Amino acid sequence: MQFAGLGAAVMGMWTCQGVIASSLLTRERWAGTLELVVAAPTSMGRVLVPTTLALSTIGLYTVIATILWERWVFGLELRIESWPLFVTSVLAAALTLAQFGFFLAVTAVRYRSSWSLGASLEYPGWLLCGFVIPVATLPDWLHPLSWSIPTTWAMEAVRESADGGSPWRDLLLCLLIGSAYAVLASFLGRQLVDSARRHATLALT
Amino acid sequence: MTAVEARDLRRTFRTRTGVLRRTAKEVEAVRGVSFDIQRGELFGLLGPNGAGKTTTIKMLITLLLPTAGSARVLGHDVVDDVREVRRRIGYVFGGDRGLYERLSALDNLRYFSELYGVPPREQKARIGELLELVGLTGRERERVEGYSRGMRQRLHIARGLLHDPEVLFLDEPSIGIDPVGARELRATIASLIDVGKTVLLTTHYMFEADELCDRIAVIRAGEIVAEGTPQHLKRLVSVGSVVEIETYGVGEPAVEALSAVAGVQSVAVEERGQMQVLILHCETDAQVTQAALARLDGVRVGRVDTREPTLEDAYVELVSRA
Ligand SMILES: Nc1ncnc2c1ncn2[C@@H]1O[C@H](COP(=O)(O)OP(=O)(O)O)[C@@H](O)[C@H]1O
Ligand SMILES: [Mg+2]
Repeated sequence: MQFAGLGAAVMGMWTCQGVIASSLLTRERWAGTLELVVAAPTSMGRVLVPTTLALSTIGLYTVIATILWERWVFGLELRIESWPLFVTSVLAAALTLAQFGFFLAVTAVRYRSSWSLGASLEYPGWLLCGFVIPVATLPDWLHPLSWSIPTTWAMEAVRESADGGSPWRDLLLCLLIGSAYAVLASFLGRQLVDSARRHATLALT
Repeated sequence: MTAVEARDLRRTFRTRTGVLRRTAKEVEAVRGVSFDIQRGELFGLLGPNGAGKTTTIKMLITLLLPTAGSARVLGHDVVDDVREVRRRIGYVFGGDRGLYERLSALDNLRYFSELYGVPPREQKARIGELLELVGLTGRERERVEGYSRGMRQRLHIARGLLHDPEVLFLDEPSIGIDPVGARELRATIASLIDVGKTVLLTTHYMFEADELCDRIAVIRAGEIVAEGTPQHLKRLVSVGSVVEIETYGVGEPAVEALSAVAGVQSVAVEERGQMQVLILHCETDAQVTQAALARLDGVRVGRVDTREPTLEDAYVELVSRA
């Protein structure tokens, strides 16, 4: 039960970030504000990262809410060996999800239908990141995919710190991979905006 | 000094239709447009729908890459110096999109101030001034979703001016605004020139271009077909004078008979309620009124009026030439 309880807590954060982040710019496109945002002298990162960080903050709320519901409604008392390490791991999950969300969000500058990417990642993510079943039980060929998502490592770190282990290796990997997504996204952001200017995909017409 | 220079700008769009059998189609939206706008000038790009006005503007404000040709804004290339261009220009388009509906006008302006790096200490004063300029003071805390079409347009203009840009691009700002609102809008645009801004305005309303613009380029099917001051454009066309005759129940034969009158270049019929107004474009110094009325024997005739050709006449002639 501890396994599912912790998984459910981080799952809310994942869903919140993935679905909303990837549809952020699509909504701006519908509202006609995407062109105005691109025409401003600010980089995509400065626009998107604060938003995905805000989404992660809402994600933190879902973690707390899930833990409280588990305790009060389902009578599931999570056993947390080290609160400081647990809180650190959850914060790392939030931060790296914001970085991953930035990556998802930025693709929508170029591709009008990339909101579906986030939506279609939602449920596979539940399995890939090990929220409901251990990653080790997935088929071997899926492992690299799992490992390439920072949240998989964040989930590991959360479990380790709850069970009294050392989360540091997982935390390091999760921060490294998360930052790699952020760097990739800001580089890609520029390329994708240029591509959108070439292919005229910033507006609806 | 030149504020905007466009050199042989071209843009083609590729559109695809069909899901399984994809057929690609190419649209040449802009085909070789060149012009210069001097600082402090109000330059009009006048043309019918689909002429390529918006496409031209979007290339100048770095939202679209030109397929060929080049353009500079205040000396900065719109392809290579994107950031420099973006910091110095404002962009306002007509229509009621482009605002955050669920935010108040104030929050919309605050957000765009951030995007344009307006220093936090100056923001409040700047937003206050602009709300005053566009006449939205007192309504700024209401959500935009409740705004009228005219209020939205004025908010758009305030947004475009937040960072005090030197050059403003206004793409059909008066579209869908009632006459009173449109007149106020024209006053606002005229006042921008008084404070030293350079403005590129696109419109398909002749009177708007005539009233506001120092110089006008008429664009048709992606090409500039004429350029000059409103007076110059009026002289460009071969029409010397225009005779308007109000008639009731004029027939096709009578119209043809009128075309045959010496000195008449063309005859157009405009339905106005019960009445048909015959618009005769005449050669310079031609005295056609008497001859024309003689041919309208038996038709009830109302007011007869001779006037100078307007920019509208020039425009119609320019955009309808083959
Ligand atoms: N994103 C686009 N994709 C395909 N065709 C386009 C696109 N934008 C404009 N066009 C076409 O280019 C032409 C010029 O359009 P536009 O510049 O919007 O004209 P205007 O602003 O003068 O009404 C039109 O035929 C229009 O259909
Ligand atoms: Mg247009």
